[in-house]
Amino acid sequence: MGHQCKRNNSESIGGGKLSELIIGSVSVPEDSHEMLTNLVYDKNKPEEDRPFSAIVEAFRFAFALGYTSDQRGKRVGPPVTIAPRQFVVSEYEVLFREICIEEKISLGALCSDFAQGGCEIIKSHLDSGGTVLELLERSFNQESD
Amino acid sequence: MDLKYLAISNIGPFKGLHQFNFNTTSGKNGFAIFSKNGRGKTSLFNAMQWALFGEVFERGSVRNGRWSDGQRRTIVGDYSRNPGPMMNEDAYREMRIPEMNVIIIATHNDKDVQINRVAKSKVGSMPRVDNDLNQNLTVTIGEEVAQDGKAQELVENLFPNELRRFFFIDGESLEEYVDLVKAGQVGGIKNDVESVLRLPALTRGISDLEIIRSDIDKEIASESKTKRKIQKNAEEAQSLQIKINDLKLKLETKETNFNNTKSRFNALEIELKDFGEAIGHIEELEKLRAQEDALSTALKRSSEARNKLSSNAWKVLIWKRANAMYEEVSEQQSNLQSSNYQMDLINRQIEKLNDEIEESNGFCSHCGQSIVDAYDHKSILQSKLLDLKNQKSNISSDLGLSMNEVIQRMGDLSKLNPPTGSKEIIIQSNENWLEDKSKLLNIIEALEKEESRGLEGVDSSELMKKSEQLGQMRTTLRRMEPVLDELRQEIIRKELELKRLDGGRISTFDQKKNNTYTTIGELLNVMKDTLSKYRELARKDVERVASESFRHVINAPEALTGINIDQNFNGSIIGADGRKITMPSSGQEMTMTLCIMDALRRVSNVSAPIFFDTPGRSLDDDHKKAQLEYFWSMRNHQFIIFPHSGEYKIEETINQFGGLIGSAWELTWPADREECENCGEDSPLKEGKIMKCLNCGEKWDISVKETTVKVLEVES
Repeated sequence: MGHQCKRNNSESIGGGKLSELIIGSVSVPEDSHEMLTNLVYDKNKPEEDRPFSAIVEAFRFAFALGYTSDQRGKRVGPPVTIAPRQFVVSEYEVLFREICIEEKISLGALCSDFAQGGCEIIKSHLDSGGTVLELLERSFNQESD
Repeated sequence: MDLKYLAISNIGPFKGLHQFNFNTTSGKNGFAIFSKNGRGKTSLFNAMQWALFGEVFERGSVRNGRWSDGQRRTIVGDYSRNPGPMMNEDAYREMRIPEMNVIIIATHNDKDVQINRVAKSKVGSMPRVDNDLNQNLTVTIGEEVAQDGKAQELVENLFPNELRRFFFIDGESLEEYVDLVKAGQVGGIKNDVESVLRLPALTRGISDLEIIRSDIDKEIASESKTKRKIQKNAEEAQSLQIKINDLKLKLETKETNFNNTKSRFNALEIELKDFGEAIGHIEELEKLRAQEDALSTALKRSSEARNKLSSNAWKVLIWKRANAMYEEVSEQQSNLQSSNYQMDLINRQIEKLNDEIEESNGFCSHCGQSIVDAYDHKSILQSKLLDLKNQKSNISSDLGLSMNEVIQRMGDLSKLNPPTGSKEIIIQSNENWLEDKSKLLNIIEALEKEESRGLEGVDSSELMKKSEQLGQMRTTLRRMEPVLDELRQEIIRKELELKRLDGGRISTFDQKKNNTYTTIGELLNVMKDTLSKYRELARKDVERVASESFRHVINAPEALTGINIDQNFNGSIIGADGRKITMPSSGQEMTMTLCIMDALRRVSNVSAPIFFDTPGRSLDDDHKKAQLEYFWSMRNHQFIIFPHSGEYKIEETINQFGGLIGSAWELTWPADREECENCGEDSPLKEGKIMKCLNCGEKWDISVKETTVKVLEVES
């Protein structure tokens, strides 16, 4: 699974320069945000697949899934920002610095793209009747396959 | 009792048979047996006691204010002891069947009396202990003959054992008796006074009754204790009975409830019998609902657990790729370390070469001579230096990131590394949740299916209500059964405890014992009072008689007028002014004591000879003479003294008191003989251990310690 699209998000909102790297912020489209919201734990709904304790945890999972699957999503629709204090983009500079500089996009934009990619995988899996955390195992199995 | 004849055989130093004839026609009652020490005076004194009482004691003493005899003398045994056994040692060793024998012949109330006591070996020669001897006593009084126990009774009728010390007086123990008399110790002379009263029935009766009363007292005390225990038991039993009643009431109530519930349960069970299918349906529903509840709870738990564990899920995913990056950076770090090391090495080599080139001036640094190929050598060094600089340049160009940057990257990447086993834990928690969810959905499906069956023609809510009631009642009944059992067991236990408490109860307390105790106490008081009166009378009698004797014996009757025995039985000498003499001499005290003993003997009204061993001990000449004069003057008592030669001189005594002496003897050993027994020659010649009469040639061995009895001539 290669890069679905090469985007120039250097014009993304906020963020300062770190060397040549633009930090930027993270966001997902509304529908993805809603889907992620539905993955947050609710003690009154134990039968539902809500394995994450907060929206940022769900987002982080989606982002990690997109990254490990090397799948970036196309963010369409109004963005919903993920709180920067909860998801600190600079923590991922070590992974994406070169890509961002090379592709001239901000770190936040790249993370958001990976998160969107992950959301798409999750949505597809949930639609097929699976559970979110099954993707963890599947991700490894795919590689071994 | 008048002593007539004494025969002893194998006692002390008396080997073989020796005889003493006390039968005098003169009517004189004084007798004396003189000897030096060791010749057998005390053995003779003891032989009389043994014949009469079958036992002889070593010298007595005063202990705790009471007179007590010494150790009992043995007949045979250890001859190395002092005093040794009573049987003559030579006879003991030489006789095939050793035998010791004493015969006393006397008269009493005009009847002939013969007392014969024999100790004879029953084990042949040299019996070891007294148990190896047969001891026999034969007593004949008039026509009456008795043996052993009965014979002893007869002897003691004539000569009471408890008064023995007033008749067998040991001069060497007399000083201690003086102390007893002076101190007036309770139990000393007081006991003596009681014994001379000769009221054994009364004194022993008091003693016996005191023992009986003490036993009853103990029984009463024991019963009182029992009574208290019974009282306590009764209280406990009462308390226990109340508890039992309460328990029974409680049991009754619970049994009633149980039976009522059971009845209702049975009725309801019959009522619901026709609704078996419906009830099965209801029960199934209940069961499914219970399962639904349980699984819901389980699902909540697994959901919660999954939620907590999934926090590292993103790290698991991200590390899948970041791990490779981490390893790459890690390798970079290793390379950097290696390059840095090489650079250091090259720098040191460059520095060394620079120094060498600088110092290379074409002359030897040691000897100063010019070096032939110095130029070529310097060229080689410069070439090496250039080569090293090139290497350094190459290494520097290969270096990408700095070490700090590499370390920074490694730190950042490490933060993305999930804890070990996170993946498996998360997957497992998800599977658990899925399983619980699946089970719950199945139950919900089954429940919906069961609920959809419906109940035709049945008021399901009423039926369910009744069914629930039935279930509740069943549960209640099951719960009640062990409670009822426990109550019943508790009652049984308490009833057993009650039975135990009741078992120790004695219905009536023995009042008779109390009455007996009181009666004995009253009787004892009467007897003690009587004894006290008798004792008081006897005390006065003893005081009177002792005073009479004292006035006869004492050498200053005008100054010392009598003896006082006070109510505490304290003896003292009274002066002419009627007051007690505060500092009497020892001779006066000794005389007082002898007079009290004489008075005790006389008050006892026992007529028997008096035997006085070493009578002059502690007395001055005046008192010794007075003593003999007094005692030998008594017409109704034989008085036999056993003086040693230092106390009373034989000739002097016989000459002075010949008119009072019935018979006298001297106990001698061969060494004591100063004249020949055969011819009367008084100048024998001593030849070693042998004495030889120069007149008739008679010889005797003076080393032999065998006592011979010599009858002394006295005034007839």
